[in-house]
Amino acid sequence: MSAAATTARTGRAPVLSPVFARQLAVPGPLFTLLPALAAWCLLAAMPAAHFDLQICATPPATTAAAFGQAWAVSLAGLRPWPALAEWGLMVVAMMLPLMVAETGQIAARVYRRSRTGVVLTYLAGYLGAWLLAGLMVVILTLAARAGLQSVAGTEASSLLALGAGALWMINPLRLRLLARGHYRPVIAAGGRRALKGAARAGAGKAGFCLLTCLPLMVAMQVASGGLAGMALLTVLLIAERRAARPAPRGAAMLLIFFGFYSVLA
Amino acid sequence: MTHRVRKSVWGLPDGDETLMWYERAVEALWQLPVDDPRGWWFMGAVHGVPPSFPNIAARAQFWDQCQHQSWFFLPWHRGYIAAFEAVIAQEVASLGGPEDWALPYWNYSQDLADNPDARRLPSPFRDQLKPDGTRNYLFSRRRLVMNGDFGLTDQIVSLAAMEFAGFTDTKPGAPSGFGGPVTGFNRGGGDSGALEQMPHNVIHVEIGGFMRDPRTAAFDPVFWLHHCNIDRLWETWRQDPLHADPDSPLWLTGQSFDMHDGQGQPFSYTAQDMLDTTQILHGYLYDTIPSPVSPGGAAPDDTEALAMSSSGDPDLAGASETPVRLGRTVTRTRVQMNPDVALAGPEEAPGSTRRVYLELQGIRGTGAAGNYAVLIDLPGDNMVPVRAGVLSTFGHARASRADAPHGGSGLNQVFDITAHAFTLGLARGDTEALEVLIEPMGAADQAWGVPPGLEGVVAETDEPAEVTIGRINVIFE
Ligand SMILES: [Cu+2]
Repeated sequence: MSAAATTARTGRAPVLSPVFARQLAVPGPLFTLLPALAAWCLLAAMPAAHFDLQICATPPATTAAAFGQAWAVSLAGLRPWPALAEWGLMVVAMMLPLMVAETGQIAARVYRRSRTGVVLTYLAGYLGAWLLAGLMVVILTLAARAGLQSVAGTEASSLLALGAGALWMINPLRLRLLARGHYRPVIAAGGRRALKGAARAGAGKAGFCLLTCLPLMVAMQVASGGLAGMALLTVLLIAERRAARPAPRGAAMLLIFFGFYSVLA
Repeated sequence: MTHRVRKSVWGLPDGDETLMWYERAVEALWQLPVDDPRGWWFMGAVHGVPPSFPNIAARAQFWDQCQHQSWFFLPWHRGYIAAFEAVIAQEVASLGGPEDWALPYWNYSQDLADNPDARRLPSPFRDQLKPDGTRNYLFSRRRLVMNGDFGLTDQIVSLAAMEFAGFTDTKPGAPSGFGGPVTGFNRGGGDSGALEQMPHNVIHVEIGGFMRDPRTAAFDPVFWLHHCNIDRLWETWRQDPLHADPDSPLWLTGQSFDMHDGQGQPFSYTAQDMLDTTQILHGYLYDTIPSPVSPGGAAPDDTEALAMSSSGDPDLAGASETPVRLGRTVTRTRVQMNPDVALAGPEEAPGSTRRVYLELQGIRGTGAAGNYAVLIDLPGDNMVPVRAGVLSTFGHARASRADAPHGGSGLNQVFDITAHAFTLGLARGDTEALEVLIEPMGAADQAWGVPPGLEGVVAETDEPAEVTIGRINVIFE
């Protein structure tokens, strides 16, 4: 409305809509969208994933032997710190864009001088929980990939992993957790109590996000989905959060299509 | 093509048969099985599903859809009552009634000088039995009152909402406009838009009984006359050339809803499909779209203040320290003002250029919803407290459940108290604390009666209300 009025008066369109400019200036988007953008750039610039190993040994005689071999190859190729750093970037890139509304809500209900501190503490609690989970993801990804590839081929493993991801996507338990994750806690208006509340709220929020998203991220990693796969997952998860009546079947189908696409391409 | 014309229920002439046919159609639809999309049960459950209601296969797609605390509140309900009207009209015609039956509306806000009965429940809805001694299908469980007089005050039927210039406002802590906040599919939770808050929510609670809970409200036949009036008020608001519905595609086409028409055939619609009432199913018009009168409502300075737009980013200026549990009598809460914010320079003193809001954040609980008078006092000034408005907890139990859209964060309510900024000392900036008084209004009395057939589906009496407010905020914008 106001943007249109401006255009009519000045005769030219404003470069940045004033509403959008104001939205960018508040701590919510400032501390979420900008770091996420930076993380995406870094991820795109990085040469290869550090725990994204292809196993191309000749198939051993037994499944157990195959698992052992695949696991050993994975572990040998694993560089823990780069892998964790990559995980951190992935979390910042994929999860922070989901936090714009949440941080905006939190920031609006604390005193202005406390806003930056509270939002950063909230995000620290949130990202901290994710980073701790990262260790688990690296191990789970390696184990799942080694396990799958020891019973099925590389391509079948990708499909199996994404199939499992799709099943989790439509699981009613996951949908309940998703609703619960939208909870907006009331924290104190300022001071130490606000910081404490923000840290707890951030970690709690991460808990629900982890339960709903982590298996999907592991599935995508096992399937070696790469940057495209992560981008797809991010879009699906954002869309799901925007619709308060999620229709997960479509998203699950897309995951499976993506599996076929990446195998065939 | 002629359209159905929705008329004022109190303006229907003597001997008019609109409500007689309504009652007969309701009786017929009451007999249909629960999975018949034209049945009374099915149509009521589209709004909300009572706690121990039978389950059917179509539930996920059609039931439990009602949009509250959302910018879809008005368009969703418009489609819903049009679908209902189509079914009733079809039934009336097949019973041998008129072909052009239309839902009447209950204009409780009509000036009492024009119609002293305006605020009373129309008589055909009042008694459990008809004059011939058979069951009256327009009766429902409501608060027990005499002669349909629910004690609706000037404040309760106030049309101050009509003064809101914008349809929606997304700034957290600020009122969310005439029509409600930007949301996705939202069954409830968060802020109500101005019209939804009052008179809509407040009337629901005052009528009581089924009407008091979104999960049972649409099972009361008077629900439809109430919502028809809310729909008429939206139509009146949007006829004003200064008012406009959202132009965002997210609102216009971003969310679609599924219903059944008069023949029981499914159809779906978006908000955009709801903008021309003559194009919705059979098409309808209102007998008059009068300019709204606000009986004893907002004072002129209030109205001016409401219409004034402000551009600032909302700033928290004061907050209560601990959660507030509402009692059965008045609950007093101290809201500590923050001197950093409250001691603003005179050029941006609240009330002159800045707007002032009182926000009740995180209203959660269980039991029957209530209406509460919210007053604000400046401690030690020996003056009577000022009125902030009416808190209505319509839908609070549902919005507090973990599987609600916001994970059970409950409701929010924002009052514009700019007109009182001077009285409360906020304009001078030397107020250390305010005291907020929250007092239950008349609707605390018990509702009465369980219509035959609903025994066991709804409780015998209303559950007592348990309400906690997470925080009370004073916000400057
Ligand atoms: Cu309603």
